[in-house]
Amino acid sequence: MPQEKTEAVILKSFNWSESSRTVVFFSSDRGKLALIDKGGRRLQSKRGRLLSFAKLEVSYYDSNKESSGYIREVELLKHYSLEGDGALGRLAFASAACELLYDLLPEEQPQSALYQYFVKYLSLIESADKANLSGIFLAFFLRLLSQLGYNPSLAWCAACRKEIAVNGDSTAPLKFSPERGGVVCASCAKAGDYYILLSPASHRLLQTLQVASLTEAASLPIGYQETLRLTEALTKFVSFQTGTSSGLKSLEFLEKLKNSKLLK
Amino acid sequence: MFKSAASIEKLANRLARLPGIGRKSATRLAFHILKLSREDACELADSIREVKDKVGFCSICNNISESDPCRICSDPQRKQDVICVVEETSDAAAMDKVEGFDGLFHILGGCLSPLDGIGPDDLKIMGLMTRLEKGVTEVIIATNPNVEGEATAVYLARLLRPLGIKVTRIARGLPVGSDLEYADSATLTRAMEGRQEY
Repeated sequence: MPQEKTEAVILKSFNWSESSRTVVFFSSDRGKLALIDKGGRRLQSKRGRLLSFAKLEVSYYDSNKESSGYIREVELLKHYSLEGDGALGRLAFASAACELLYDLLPEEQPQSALYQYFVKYLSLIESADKANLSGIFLAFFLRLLSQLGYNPSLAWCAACRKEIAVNGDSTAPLKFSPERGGVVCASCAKAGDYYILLSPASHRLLQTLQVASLTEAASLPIGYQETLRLTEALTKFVSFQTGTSSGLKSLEFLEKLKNSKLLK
Repeated sequence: MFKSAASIEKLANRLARLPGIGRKSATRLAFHILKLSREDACELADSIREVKDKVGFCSICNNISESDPCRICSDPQRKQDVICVVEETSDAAAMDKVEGFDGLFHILGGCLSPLDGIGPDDLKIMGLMTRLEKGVTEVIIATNPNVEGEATAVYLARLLRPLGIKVTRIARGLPVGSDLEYADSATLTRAMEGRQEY
């Protein structure tokens, strides 16, 4: 087996024996990459610890067959500490990004620009003010969709491609159709179809986030309910467009935290 | 597969459902059981039945036990005002070997996990809160030193501190018998932060 080396972040891992597991990485040069971590669950394993939310240098034996390669050695390059103020929110938003990447990335197709963007995202989730985490997450979500070719249509009607004109003082909600791929104008909207209603402000915010850099998004404080509404629209969109399951467990986790009986 | 002995196939199928046991290993085990003496095979079957009949969960700490309350919770020699909170029963068994700790345990039944959608109400935290009303002075949080374990620790600390109870976290750093050269920078940082005067 040839030996390879790559920089990567863990997206998910599955234990399959007392001491071994399969680890799915987002690699800088291989895209989504699944590798077998033999004996890695043992405390005394000497090939380095596999930390979540960390930039790792992974040396591995590549496999040309259908089975996955094996991890040989791991070096920690940078650990994104999600502790401190807003730790649970940081953990949830970092996990949500991993969930999205795991669901949407195709196997072993290099996505170097997206990898760098993801690393920047983790860095901001670690350091940004907790009030701004939602904006960073939504900007990441939109950029991920755009990079993978699933950009939702927000400025033009997803059906007739006419520009969506919103009067400055209008409060009438816009109809976002996950199935048709974006906002639909009044003349294309059909009675009985499924739509998510977006206020003009939410629509403007999504458009802003669609083109914003992560740093710009970090200066946009977005309320919790607004985040949930916009995330719901985007996850439903992803579900319709890609056939993956709708809903992000990581954000359901935030809901569970908020609604916990223990805090009442 | 075993047309002449359907019971062997049935046994192999059952064994193959166990974690870490594949089809071939299950078949090997089934044949091994066939070769056992009648007494040994019946003892194995009785042990499995006994485990299912006798072992339950302690209503106080959620540990597995043949009695309720469990041996630890009903031991008057143990400190009743110190509770060590762990994720799983196996963690409690490991922590029970710690010299110098003779308090009680509370098993959460997992940890907070965004990726698995496990929130606080999915864990046995309410039972812990009830126990704290009985004069507990210290809660030691011994969740795993990974991201989810830390998140659970942060959540518990936030929940317990307003109650005026001393909340401590087990130290994180290097395992005994390990080599510094193989430790990653995150572990070494924790070890350095938690250093003690010698």
